[in-house]
Formats: sequence, structure tokens, C-alpha cells
Amino acid sequence: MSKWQVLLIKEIKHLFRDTKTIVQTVVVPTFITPLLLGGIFYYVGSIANEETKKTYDVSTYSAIESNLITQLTESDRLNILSEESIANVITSVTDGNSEIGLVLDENFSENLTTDSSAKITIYSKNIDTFSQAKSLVTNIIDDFEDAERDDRLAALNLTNEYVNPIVIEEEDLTTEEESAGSIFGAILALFFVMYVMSGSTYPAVDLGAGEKERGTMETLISTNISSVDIIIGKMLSVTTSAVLTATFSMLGFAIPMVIIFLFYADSVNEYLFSLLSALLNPVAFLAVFILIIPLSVFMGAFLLAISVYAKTPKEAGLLLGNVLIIFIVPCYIPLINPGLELDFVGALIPCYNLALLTNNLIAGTVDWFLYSVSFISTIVYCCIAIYVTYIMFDDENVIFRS
Amino acid sequence: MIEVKNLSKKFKAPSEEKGIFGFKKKDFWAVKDLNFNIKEGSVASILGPNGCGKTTTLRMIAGMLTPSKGTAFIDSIDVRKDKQAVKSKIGYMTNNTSLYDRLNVLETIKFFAELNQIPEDIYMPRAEKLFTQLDMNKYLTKRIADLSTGMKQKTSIVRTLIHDPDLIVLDEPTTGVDVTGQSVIIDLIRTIKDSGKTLIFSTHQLNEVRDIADHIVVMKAGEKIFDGDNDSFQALDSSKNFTEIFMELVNE
Repeated sequence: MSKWQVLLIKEIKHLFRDTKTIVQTVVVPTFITPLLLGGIFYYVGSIANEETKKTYDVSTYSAIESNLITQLTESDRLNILSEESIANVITSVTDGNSEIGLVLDENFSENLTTDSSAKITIYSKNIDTFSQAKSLVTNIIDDFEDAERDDRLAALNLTNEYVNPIVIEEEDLTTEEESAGSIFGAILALFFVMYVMSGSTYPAVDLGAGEKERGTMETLISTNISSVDIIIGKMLSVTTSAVLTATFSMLGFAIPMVIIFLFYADSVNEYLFSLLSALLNPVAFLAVFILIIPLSVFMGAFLLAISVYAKTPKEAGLLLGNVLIIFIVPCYIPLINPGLELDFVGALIPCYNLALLTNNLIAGTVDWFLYSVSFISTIVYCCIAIYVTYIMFDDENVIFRS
Repeated sequence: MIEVKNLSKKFKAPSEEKGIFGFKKKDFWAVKDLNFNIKEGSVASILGPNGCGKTTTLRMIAGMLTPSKGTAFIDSIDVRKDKQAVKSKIGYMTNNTSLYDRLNVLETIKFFAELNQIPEDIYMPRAEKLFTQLDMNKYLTKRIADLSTGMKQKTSIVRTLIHDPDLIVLDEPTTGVDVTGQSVIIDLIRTIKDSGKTLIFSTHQLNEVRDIADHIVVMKAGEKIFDGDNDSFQALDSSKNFTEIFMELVNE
């Protein structure tokens, strides 16, 4: 067995006997995160579901009788409260006694009969994004307005077509795969990058700055192992942890989905079911996994170089915390700009390319040339990071930095 | 066995002059033009106050630091030219046991033996002999983290000796170690001395030196201020003990 293999086996054994490594590599990505995400989705879904059954209080003020108020009163889901002044309507909404406030202008009915515009003021707080109160009220107002418009046109012997010379018909040709890619692609990539990082950070700190602090680095370099063997052994240990974390994170996403398909297919919303079906694409997952491997090596080498430079694990943690932002930010860009397309320059940016390629792979629209550019460029970054790590391990000023 | 020729090491250290990014760094010689020879089979001790360059010297001899000037030969191998060959001849140990907490004793020894490319049929009988000598057989499957300091020290000794090195380098082996640990180390040094191997160690314990060392090198501010055998050291002032002679030397 060569020396790097001896070191690798020792490092893996040493790392995985630490509960922290097992928790970070296996438990969190496989169980905790899916449970957490599932819990959040369930909670959000149940809130949204509750809202569809809820009755909302609407405070109104109108100086005169109006058919609109009558129509609002007829709605099962609106509880209309009559107030004596505009100020009372505002106070009621502000204090949370009603969800919506509605004030009809004092000339409301008169304006309608004289073919003028009648004014309605709606008071609301737009914080509760789940609330359906406003849309229920505006839908009734829209229907009321449509009826008024039809009456006016009929009085003039005009048709709806006369006032709407162009009719736009929209047909969304987005496939389920494209929707799934656009909705989940960047999020999944962000999760994978975060898992690769969390899977490499602790081993990198432990095998670099941690060994320096414990004095085992000095013991190691006092033996006749070369710097190259040390780097290969340590880097592969960090990478193994990162790839395992990424693998378990993929399983953490895939297994709950398979369970949903097998046992709860009937209870899942049809649109969500189609999106999840599109996500379960083994080719896409395999292609993403192939991209993650060199990214893991790159991160492993990069983090190890920083860790070995640090005097203590505390300093390493501080340095790595700042450096990790470099990997996270490129993943966020496609998340906040869903329409972004991968181009040649983008394919050279690590993590950014992974986010867009994950999107394209799920959508089935991947450009394999850009995929290859991303893969090869990440391998080039790996080589640079490994070289930097080699320089670090070969520099006695770094190893004995104190 | 050890031939040290003009051995020097320069480091960067903060000066009193302030720069844009804190104190400016300037060169300082941690070890300067050190020359001495240690015969094969002898026990040599390097003495000196803190910061005099003992650890740096031992690290250069062990091939862990590259000399800025001069060199050291271990069995005629130049440390500047073939560090790996030198390291394979050396067993290096510090007072800090520096072992992997989550490995057990046997795994630790196996790791260092395999790292030195020693076949199992050679290292296992050697390890068993050392385990018996050091009364460690009950603890072989215990993790390092669960061992007492004395047992860690013993494991560290077996680790240092498992590849049967020609030269053993001990950097302040008894500093910060409890009485049990110290006795383990002293016994080790005696055993090594009896086996005819060469040993060089740095220490602040002058009693150890008087009892064990054949050769003494005293350093001060990176330079050698005494180099000779035990008797010549005592001969510096026969009316004083080792500690008094040492104090006089370093305070001059």
C-alpha cells in the first residue's frame, strides 16, 4: 500500500469515528433536511389550505345604499361590517378587526347613473400573502363593473367587441420538465453546494488547522511521508466526506419523492405531482452528480489550503466562513434571476454553472458543450487548488506558522 | 552519526517598526553557525534557555525544517539533499504526545509502521515486544482519547521506535509531563542508550542530563556556547553542580 493510501485510510477512520462527521455527512442531509423541508412545506400548505375555507371581515362605509354592498354581503366568505365613518374603516383595518376596508365615494351611485367613473377606496395591509380577502372583494367589484359596463354598452347599442378590438389568447408551452427545472433547479444546486461545503469544511478544519493545533501534523511530517502523499491522502479524505454528503443529500431529496409517488400519489396536487415527476430524472441526477465530484475536489483542496494556513481551528473557521461566501453567491444569482441562460463565460464560473446546468438538466434543455466546458473548467480549478495546497504543505513557514 | 556544519536558520519576526499592515517583519537568526558532532551510539543533550534555538536545531536535524545556511549529516546523508532518507532513519518525539485521539493503540502503531513501509511480519513482533516491555498489553484496543497521560506517552514511544530508527530525536520529552510520564521517558532513554542507538534530546532538566547524557551542547541566542562530554561540562567548575554551571554559562 502506498503512503497516501495508508494516510487516507487513517484519515477516513479518524474522521468517521467522530460523531460530528456522521451527523454532518449522513444524518443531516438524509433525514434532518428532508424532514425540515417536508415540515415547512406541510405547514405552509396547511396555512394556504386553511385560507381557502376562511371567512373574512370587511368593514365598509357608504353614505348611500349600493348594489355593490348587497353583492358583497351575498358572498359566503365575506362578513360585511358597516361603519359610520371613513375613519372607523381605517381604524378597523389598522387594528386588525377587519381584513379589508371598503369606502364608496359619496357620489358613487350618482356617478354610475350619469355614466361617470365611481370611486372605491380599498384599505388593506398587504403583509399576509396567504390572505384571499382582497382577491375575493376585487373579484366581486370586477363582476359589478363588468355588469355596469355591459349596461352602458347596451344603452349605446355597442358590443364588447367594439371596445375590445384585440383579443389576446395566451398558451403556455412550458413543459413540466422546464417548469420543474426553473422552480427547483437553482434551489437544488444551492442545496448541493451547501452540502458539499458543509461536508468538506469540518474535515478540512480538522485535518489542517486541527492537526496543527493538536501537534499531530508535526508528528506526521517527522515521518518520511512526502508532501505530495500528505496532500493526496488528506484531500481525498475531505473529498470523500464532501461527495458522501452530496450523495446522501441527493438521496435525502429522492427517497421522500419516491415515497410520495408510491404511497401518497392521490393526495398530492396534480400540478405539484407533475413537477415532482419531472424532477425524478435519473440522467439529470447522474449528470449533476458528475459535476459535483470535481467541485468537491476543488472545494476540498481549496478549504484544506486555507485550513492548513490557519494557526488554529478557530482562525480556520473564521477564514473559511468568509471564503464560503464566494461559493454561495454564484448559486444565488440564478435563484433570484430565474430567466438567466448559461453562456460560455458563465460555464467558467464554478457553482453558477452548476446552478444553471441543474436547471437545464431537469428541464431537458442542457447544452452538452457548455456542460463539458463547466466540467473541464472545474477540473482546471481543481488542479490549481491542489497546486496551491501543495505549496502550503511544502512551506515550512505555513506548517510551523504560530 | 550526526555531523552539524555551520547549521543556521533565519526566520521573519515582527520588529518594533510599524508598517501599513502592523509591525514590519525583519530577519532574525534562530540558529547561527552551529557546529558539533555526535558519535554513533551516544546520548547527546541540547541545553539552553527558552528561545535559544533547541527545537529549531532538532527540527533541522530531523529534516523537518530546511536550514537557511549550513547543513547536518545523518549517517553521512545531507539533510538538505535527501530529507526523506534522513527522516526514515529518525524517530522524532516531542513532549506533546501528538497522537490521533480516535484511533486505538494498535491502529496508531500500525499506521506509523505502514507509513514507514514496514511489513506486518516485521513490525508486529517488534510492537509486541515493546508493548510487553512497557506493560501496555491491556490497553491495545483502547482509543488514545481514553488513555492516561502516561499510557499516551508510552504509545508515543512505541510509535517513535516502531520503524527501528538509527537516531532518536526527543524535543523536551519531559517538559509538562507528570512524574509517571517523566519516569517512562527516562526509562526509555536508558533503554535506548543500552541498545547502542544514538539519541539526541533537548531538555531543561539538568538532573536527567547528568545521569544520562554522554555529550552536552549548550546554546544561547541561537549560538553554541558549550560543546563537550559530561566530564568536560563538570570540569568547567568542579565545585558547582550541573545546574549552577549551566546558570553561570547562560547568564554570562
